[in-house]
Order: sequence, then C-alpha cells, then structure tokens
Amino acid sequence: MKIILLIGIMILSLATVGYGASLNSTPIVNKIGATDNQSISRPDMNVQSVTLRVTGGGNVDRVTVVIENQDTINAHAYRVCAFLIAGAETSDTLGSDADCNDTPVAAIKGAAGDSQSAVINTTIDITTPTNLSDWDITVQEIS
Amino acid sequence: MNGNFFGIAVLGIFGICIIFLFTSTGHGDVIATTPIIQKIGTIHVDDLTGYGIRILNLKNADDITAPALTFITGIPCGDDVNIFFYDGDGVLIGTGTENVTSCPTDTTITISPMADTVSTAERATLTSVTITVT
Repeated sequence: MKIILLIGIMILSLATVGYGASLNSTPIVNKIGATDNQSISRPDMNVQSVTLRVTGGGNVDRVTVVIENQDTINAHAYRVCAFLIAGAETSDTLGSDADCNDTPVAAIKGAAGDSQSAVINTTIDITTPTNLSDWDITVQEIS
Repeated sequence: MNGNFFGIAVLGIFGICIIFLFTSTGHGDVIATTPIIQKIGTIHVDDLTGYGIRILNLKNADDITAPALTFITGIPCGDDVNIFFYDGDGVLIGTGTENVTSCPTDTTITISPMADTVSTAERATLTSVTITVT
C-alpha cells in the first residue's frame, strides 16, 4: 500500500510542473551569421490615417495617427512613434522615444456590445518641428 | 522491526523526492514558455511629390481601395498622382493613379479606382507607401 502511494507521488511529480524551483527559462535565440534569428512580428492592426499638422513655416509640429485593432481575440494598447526626415534634418534623435505616445486600449475588433472602439487615435507633438518630407510611423503593441 | 524499517525507508525515499523536486527544474512535464516579444510594425511614407502630403488616409475598410491624399498645395491640372504600396520584402502589393482634374484648388486627391487594390491579407503586410506626381 505504501509502495503504491510512493509510486503515485512520483508519477504526479514527473507529470506536472510548477512544484520545483523557479523556472528560469531564458529563450535561446539561434544566431545565424552576424544577426540574431529573432523575428518580431507586426501588430495585428491597421494604420488608417496619418495627419500632419503643418505650421506656417512649413514645418510639421504634430502628428495624429488613427489605428484600428484587427485582433478579434484581444484588446491592445499601442505605443506610436513618429519620425520625420527632411534631408539631413530629423524630427528627433534616432533611438529616442520622445516623439512617441501611448494609445488607450483599443477594443477587440468586432466585439459585440463593447463600449470601447477598436479604432483609436493618438496625437504626437514633434520635438523638433521638421520640414515636410518622408516620415515613419512605428506602432508597438504594448499590451 | 521490519515494519519500522520499511516505514523509515519510505520516508527517506519520499524526502529525497521532495528535496529533488524543490531544488531542480526541467524534470517534469513539458514547459511551454513562449517568449513574449512585443510586436512592432512600421509604415514608411516616401513623399516624392514635392507638394507635401499633409494627410494620408487609407480609410477604415480592411482592404485599401481608395486612398485619399491631402497636399499642402494644389497639384497642377493634368498631372497624375501615383501611389505605390509595398510589403516588408519590397514587393509591390498595390498601386493606383489618379489624374488631377479639380485643380489646383482641390488639395485632396482620392485615388479610385486603383489599378491594383491592397487586399485585407496584403494590408497586414503593408510596410511602405511611396507617392509621386508625374
């Protein structure tokens, strides 16, 4: 009877997780050549529109971005960054997050009866108003 | 006597098992730990028009069939406004051209119909938009 009890405990132990020490599972990324084999996928969203506010001097000092969450399972919030390039002139230091803004949570797309909308917008004030030229809008899914 | 010995042996084995469990990892069931990497997407807009695109409106449909562009200054009559959509691999996934007729006061040009619309699946891969005036 005791042997059966012991065997039962061992089976339970070996078939389950979470009873041991802390699980320090660092993801191992295989390296290929000089770059990491790390794939960062695009958020499941659409940028619907981008509106630039142009000052009298022809500089862009504000960017408004409208995003729709395309995820039909989870609501998401996003960090949206704007980066404007006019020749050698840039609206912000590369790598800085000054020209970024966090959106409120966008509801699940198509969620019935949800008071929130899957469409949200955010307005970013540009640190260094920059002449209108090429621009990048980066959207990071933060929740 | 035999009973006591057996009891002590069972307790001993049991204790070893408990110590083993609480001081080691990876001997149990499969540990499904998916690394959480925040998703990031970028849309790059290449304004090669020289007229300054103030608003890029791709509309709220899941596909892109009639993008609207608002310029700072009006486009000359008879010019074509061209738009090109690319995915992350630089593959053209949609294109359209609109001849400007309401000019030069109308600064908003809606490109419709497009020669090649951007489908819902393609829109999920959209990375770059190039706009020209010819």
